[in-house]
Amino acid sequence: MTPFHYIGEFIRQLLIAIPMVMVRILFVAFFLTLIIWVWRLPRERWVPAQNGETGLSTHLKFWALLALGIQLAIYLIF
Amino acid sequence: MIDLVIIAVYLIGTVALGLAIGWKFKSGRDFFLAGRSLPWWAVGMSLVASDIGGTDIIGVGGAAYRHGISAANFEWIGCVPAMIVAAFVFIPVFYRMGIYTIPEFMEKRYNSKVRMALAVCWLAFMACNLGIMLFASAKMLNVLLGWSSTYSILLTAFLVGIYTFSGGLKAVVYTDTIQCAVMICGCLLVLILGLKDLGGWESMMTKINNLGERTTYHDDLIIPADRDSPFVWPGILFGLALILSPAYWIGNQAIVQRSLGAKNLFQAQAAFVWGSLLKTVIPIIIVIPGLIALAKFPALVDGDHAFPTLVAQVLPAGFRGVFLAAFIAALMSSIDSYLNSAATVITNDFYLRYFNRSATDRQLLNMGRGSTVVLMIWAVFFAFWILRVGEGTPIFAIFQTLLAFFQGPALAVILCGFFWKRANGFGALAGFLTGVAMAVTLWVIQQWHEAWGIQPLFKVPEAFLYFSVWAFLTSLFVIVVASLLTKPDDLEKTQFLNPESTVTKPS
Repeated sequence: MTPFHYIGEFIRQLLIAIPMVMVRILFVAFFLTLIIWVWRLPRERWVPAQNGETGLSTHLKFWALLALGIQLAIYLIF
Repeated sequence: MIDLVIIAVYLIGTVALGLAIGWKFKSGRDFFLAGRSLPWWAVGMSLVASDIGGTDIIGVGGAAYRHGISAANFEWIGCVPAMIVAAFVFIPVFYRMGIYTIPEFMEKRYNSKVRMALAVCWLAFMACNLGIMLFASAKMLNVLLGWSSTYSILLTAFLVGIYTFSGGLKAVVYTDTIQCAVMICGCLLVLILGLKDLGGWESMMTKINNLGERTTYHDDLIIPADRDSPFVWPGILFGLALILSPAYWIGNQAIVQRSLGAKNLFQAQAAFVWGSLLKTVIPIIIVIPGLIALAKFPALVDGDHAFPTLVAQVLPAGFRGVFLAAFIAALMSSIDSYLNSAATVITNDFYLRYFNRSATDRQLLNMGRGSTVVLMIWAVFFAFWILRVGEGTPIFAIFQTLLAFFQGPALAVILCGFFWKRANGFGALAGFLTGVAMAVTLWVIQQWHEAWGIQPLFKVPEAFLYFSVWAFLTSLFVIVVASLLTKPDDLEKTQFLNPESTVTKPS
């Protein structure tokens, strides 16, 4: 057995010990964190100066939140 | 006969489009970045088409057959978050800098040695991957259509090569757009007709649940860590979502180059957001057919036969042709992307950087086209070589795992470049090389543990997700330590992080 094996086995047992409810919370938290981050993005990050168009189709933040929201729902259900 | 007609129409149409696009090109910028003329919807569809290869349709369907919907993780958590982050953080910087390649960014941020290390890795990977994709395509076409491997390799190489040679990135993106649409339609047909044949979703799930313990987790995305599955949750969350996926969508030349050809920054960002929405749909059309196949043919020995068997049994003539066109579309869309990107790396990171710094636009265009031809010839020879030595050999396994060796370290270098001004060129190079060495070491131990009489390091089949995690962490550690122990780089290296100071003209 190499040192890698001992480290690996220790981490493996640690991960196996985490209840699946907590694991699901971890996945959900991952998406929620991203949703909050996108929500709080400053305007210059998602409305570049070159874009003269307006309307929902150009509202990148909305579509990004939609994509992430769908993912959140998927990982909550499945 | 009607199936062959549909396939022929698709192939002729695609090649004609590619040829029509490219005949007016005059410069390398036209060839490599489509003259920065691409709209968001085309780039977004091209991102998806480039990512999904024909082998992925078969492979993901097969994975769903064996392991259930957890195979969808690679398209959901394994794509959408990273694409969104790329859209708002990394793509704006790459686009404003006017770069052509990721290695070029590495030189601007660090130094030429880091650029060379990345360029060599990317070129090696893309060149070998072209051969592997041609070989895998030939295998699939042999199963689905009965075509000989030699014929499939040569025909695919010729068709893809000719429109990529002619039209560069623009031809690649617009043909990818058609290929994406055909792919979605073809797979959707399989899904709809397959579900109809089974009597609907409920009927399918009832049949699957009645198969006993082997399907206990087939309707779960999150699999416990102690299951005998390659998709247990630690690998998916830490390996895929946090390392491999960002490394792919932020640092893969074949992916990022598409957005660099967009009309303007908004279009470049919108392409990634649109691509992420498309990715939400993709698993539905390639994973669920795997479940349909499981419900209909539970006794298949090889899960990778799930999709082909379903197509053969469920789709009538004509519809089969549409799916086969979709399959060929998926094959071609990945090959053309890597072909064009490999030519871009050769021209931009080797020829222009080291051999002819004052190359004219025409010379760059010629070099790009010449590289495309050479790469395609190389890919054909490599594919035939794999055919001869056999895919069961370790050498084949190495080439398949190449990306996992350096993607994690490459991500560490990019992230430090963006978020830690103290990271310097020496640290980046040391970190990258150490990370690659770690990945290779872990792989060697995992491959040859039996010969050495020791336990496997990772108790999951296909541990590439874990190689990436450890390679990334090793790289990160070494980058930090080596950077702190050596002199910092000039401040101008991090000026690109300030949007007002970034130049928008190409290098």
